[in-house]
Amino acid sequence: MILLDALQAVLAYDVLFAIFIGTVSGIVIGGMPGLTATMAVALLIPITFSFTPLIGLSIMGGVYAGAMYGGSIPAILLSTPGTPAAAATALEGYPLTKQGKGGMALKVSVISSFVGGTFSVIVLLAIAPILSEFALKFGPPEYFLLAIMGLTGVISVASGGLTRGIISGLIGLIVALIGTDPMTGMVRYDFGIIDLYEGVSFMPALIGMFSITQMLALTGEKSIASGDIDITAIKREKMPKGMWPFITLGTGTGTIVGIIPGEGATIAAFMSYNMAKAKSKVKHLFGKGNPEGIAAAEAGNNACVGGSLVPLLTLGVPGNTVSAALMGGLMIQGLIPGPELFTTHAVITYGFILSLFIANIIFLVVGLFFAPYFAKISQIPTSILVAAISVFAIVGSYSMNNSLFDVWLMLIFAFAGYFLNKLNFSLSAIILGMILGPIAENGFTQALTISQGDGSIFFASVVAKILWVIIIALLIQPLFVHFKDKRERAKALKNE
Amino acid sequence: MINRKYIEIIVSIFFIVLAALLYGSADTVNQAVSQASTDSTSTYVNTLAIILGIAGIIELIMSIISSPSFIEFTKDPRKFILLIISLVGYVWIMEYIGFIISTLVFLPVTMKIMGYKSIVKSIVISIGITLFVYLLFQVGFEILLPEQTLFEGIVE
Repeated sequence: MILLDALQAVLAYDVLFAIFIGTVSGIVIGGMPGLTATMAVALLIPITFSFTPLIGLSIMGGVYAGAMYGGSIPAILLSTPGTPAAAATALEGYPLTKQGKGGMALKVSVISSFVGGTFSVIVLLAIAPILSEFALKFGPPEYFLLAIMGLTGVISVASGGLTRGIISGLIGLIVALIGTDPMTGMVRYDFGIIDLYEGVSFMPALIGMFSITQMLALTGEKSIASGDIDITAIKREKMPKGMWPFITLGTGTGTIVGIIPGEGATIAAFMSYNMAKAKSKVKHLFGKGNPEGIAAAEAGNNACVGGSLVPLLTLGVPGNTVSAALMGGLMIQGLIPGPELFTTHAVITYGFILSLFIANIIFLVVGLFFAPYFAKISQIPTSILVAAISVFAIVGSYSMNNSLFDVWLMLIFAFAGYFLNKLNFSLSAIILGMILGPIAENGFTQALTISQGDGSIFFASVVAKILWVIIIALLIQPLFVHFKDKRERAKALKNE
Repeated sequence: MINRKYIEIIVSIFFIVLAALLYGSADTVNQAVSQASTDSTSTYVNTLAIILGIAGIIELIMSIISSPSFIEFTKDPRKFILLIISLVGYVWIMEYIGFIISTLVFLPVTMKIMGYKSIVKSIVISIGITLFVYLLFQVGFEILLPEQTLFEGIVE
């Protein structure tokens, strides 16, 4: 019954229009190297918060799904991945374009993306309500551990290593301390600034660290995507045979990887690509233009979309930066992720999930007929892009609270974020630390108050024990990989 | 090109100092409220401070023993610095001259800084973007954008 109500809500013309606009914008943004889905969702939040929750969320969901697919278009036609997740696609797609088979590569990409994206949304629809009921059994210690688990997931895949990942997460948790103490109501670490009484709003931080830092990184780039596209040379071709095993492989891998906090679309795409390479009967063609690689990688990165929304919607733990930005969008609309989403706000939540199905259909149709034209957009000069996006970032930060203080805050986070990113600190961990900070602090302080200071409360329940095992496994994983790499490098040096 | 090793040492020391300050501050915050609440909050802040301190020390040791390398903060330092000045200047003047005029100045200046050559085209694009943003936010979403305050009282 709820599903039917949700379907009815989604099929309203204004919601359908919102999904269409969101998805097409996502393809455009995802197709522009240097611009990411996180940035797009972050910039959209100030715009969407004046819409109804379902329209706002449908636009953001459309952008997420569209961007994940859009990254493959310049990757195939220009050898310039629109998003990091499309890097594996470029390895096989561009050689195919050079062989005059760009049309076939684009078709494999869009169909694989559609299958991966759609399957992961089915999984989201099936798992999320069950998991959200399970979350009702969580108490303060479990919520604290859940927040730590979410943060550890991102820390464990931080490119700068485990220590820098931990420091990044801690920066976020420490920034989240600023403002009113949730237990005592006292204002702390406000430096006498009235605007900080309510704490540091994470939206300006998100916009600063994921928009302006990217604009600063683009200084010195003349045009993001080089090369030229002859649209008339791209012929419509049939889908090659034998792709389904690779699409299935990528879909399964991407969905599972998406559900695990911290693991993102890039990892899903490369994992699927490598697995396809190992499984392929024509391994020698990999790197020279093998559509099997595109099928696995694109199904993999798009399958992450639905997967990453599972922990966000059910437990309030964003698995990656795009879902962190989406969490901002939910909270702005007064929707707190967790069990309530599937009870009190069920029509909106299910409507949002159903809107992702429609977004997948839209990018399938748009991709099949207009993909090459989107690659042209990626050639917009950097000079215009940087100026225009800076204006959107500044106005977006201002409009949340009609406050220039938020704009200054956004710039501070942008400059500090750029500097820290250059030193390999993880911006994703910082932003997740800021989002999960209040959940972690509330859980920690409430648990200790209940147990009268006895720390064993964090190990008491079965759920807590399971969460500890996951946290430890996530922390050990990068150390294991580090030592394995070191051993292999030493072995290679010895052989030389 | 800047020596990465020295930057990393400075940043590590910064985090160690931050951890020490945070640890020191934990007990002084919320002294006026109930003991149980203060204790759990202090324990939380102290835990963060201790982990940050340990991670900072590990980073410091790693930075000291690491071999020297260089870090490139930007490919084009001139454009990079000018863009920062342009962004800061834009936000600063917006408070006084409002959104429309400041944006009409910021956009062509930034495009020029970033290497856009045609002045006429950049002005046309700037007017287009400014109008679009103004109509979208101020008219469409009824979000009040900053207005000029510099001539308040002089110009009605």
